[in-house]
Amino acid sequence: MDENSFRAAAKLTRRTFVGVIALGGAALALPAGALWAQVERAAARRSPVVSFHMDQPYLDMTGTAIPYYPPPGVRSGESAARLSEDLFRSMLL
Amino acid sequence: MVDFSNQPTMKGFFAPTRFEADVYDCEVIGKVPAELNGAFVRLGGDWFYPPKFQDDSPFSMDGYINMFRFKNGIVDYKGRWVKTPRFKADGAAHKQLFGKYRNPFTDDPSVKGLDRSVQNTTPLAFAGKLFTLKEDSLPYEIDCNTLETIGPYNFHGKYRSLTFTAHPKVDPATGEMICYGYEAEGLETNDVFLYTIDKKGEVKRELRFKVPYVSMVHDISITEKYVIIPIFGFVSSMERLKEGKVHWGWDDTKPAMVAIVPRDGEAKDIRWFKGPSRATVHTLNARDEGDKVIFEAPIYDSNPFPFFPPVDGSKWDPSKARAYIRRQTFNLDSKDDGYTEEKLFEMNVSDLGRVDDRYLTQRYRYAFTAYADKQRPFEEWKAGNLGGRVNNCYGRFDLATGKMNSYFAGPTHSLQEVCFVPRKNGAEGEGYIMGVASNYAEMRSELIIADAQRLEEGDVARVVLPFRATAQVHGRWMDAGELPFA
Repeated sequence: MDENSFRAAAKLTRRTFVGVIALGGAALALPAGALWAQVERAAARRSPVVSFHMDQPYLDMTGTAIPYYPPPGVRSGESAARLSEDLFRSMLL
Repeated sequence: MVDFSNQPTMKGFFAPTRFEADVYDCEVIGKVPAELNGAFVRLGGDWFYPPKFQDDSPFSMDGYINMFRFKNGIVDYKGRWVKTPRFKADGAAHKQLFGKYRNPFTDDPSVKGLDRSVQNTTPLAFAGKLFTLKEDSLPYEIDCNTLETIGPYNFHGKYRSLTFTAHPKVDPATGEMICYGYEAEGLETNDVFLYTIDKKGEVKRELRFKVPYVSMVHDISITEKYVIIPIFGFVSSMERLKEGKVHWGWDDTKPAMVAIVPRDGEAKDIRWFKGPSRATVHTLNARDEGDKVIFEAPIYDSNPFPFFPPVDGSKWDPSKARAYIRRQTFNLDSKDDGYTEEKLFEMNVSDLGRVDDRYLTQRYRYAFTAYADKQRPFEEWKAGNLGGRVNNCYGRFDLATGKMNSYFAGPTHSLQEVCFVPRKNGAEGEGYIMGVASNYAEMRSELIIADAQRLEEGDVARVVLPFRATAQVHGRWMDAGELPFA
């Protein structure tokens, strides 16, 4: 530490430190609020999701429910006619 | 053109079936008990045409009645659409003309004034006739052999409510049916008409009264002296309907209210009790004990239905959509309008519970219902990511000892409502449980028959359908003596 930086550090009293923190917090507050609003807007824009309740699928319009993923292939009702013989048999096993 | 491709919930096992079916001499794994003579009749629904609104309630699905007819150890299956005016109007137009659940303001103008009912909730055998029930309309009479629709039924013009409950109760001692309609004088009216109908089907008594707020009155219970009528947080209004919303929304600020109605009393004799927010959609049983009425049911903490969302715009909370078997005690000797409540079992269960109906109004020991056992295996790669989210077990809940016996359906199965079939002249709980399992891996439905006293031993027979049966709301066993079966 040279003499100049020593003098600068010496001027950083507890009062000026608290003042700087307060100013910094205020400066951050506005962007944080705006960021939170963006998060909320994004949540509101979530697509509905197919979830499951009482042994039936339902459409959760908030998009926040646990999704339901049916099993793949013919068991999800996909046409078996489009599948190769090997793929068809692999799905049955 | 019928196009279900943009219906995200109607895929895979839950894709509409859209056909009527007859299966003679069904495939059976195990041996059907020859003593079973009658039919297991299911009522539920399927979409014949896609709904007008993706987020409509499944309670708007077209009614489909189907039965497993048991005779001499052989089982035949038959399934038919309930041919309501709505079903016929849609068919003529080749599209869905009707809008949201119990909201005529969302309909196509061409069907204004037409009966909107889909008849998809409960089958009923009474006074030698088979009916379908839906709480927004009159019962429909059905031919018990062909399952063809005969039409609406108003008990020789003596049943004057415009609506009829899906859960009437038949008193085993007298054979009388206690039934009711709510929104009895039309949409959004707060009237309830309560009826006693004798075993021949003649209306003997009508009592008219009003509820504190328009709400779902889905099920009741009876004792020898009283009718117990719960209402709870579902609310509706004409304004709501005109805004194009589904009939019910959930209002957490509404107290659960229970009417204790003397079976031979007047409207002025009704006692209203009030408790914390709950949802009592279905009941088990009730009885008189001195000046007290004891009522038991699988009761939800809060709103069980995601498609009837909260009116305050908050998110539906699945963690509160859990039902527990509870006992509520109403002291008629007290001037207090509160009641006591206790949980009889700490595990949450399906609210579609049943008892041995011969013990309605009486002290009883056993309740049956389905539940999800997360400890049991679930093969997600075959059946989807539903481990812990489907009812894979039936339980027999012993209210005397607090113990539970369990039946497990399989690692790719979910179970629909259980039904108890008593053995003739048997003691309480002696007989069979029956219910349909959805086998997600095999894409088929299987009717389970298990000895109610030996659930751990598995099924005694499993009737296999070579397809997916339509979704069931309620199923009932109808003994050969109850209906003029061929």
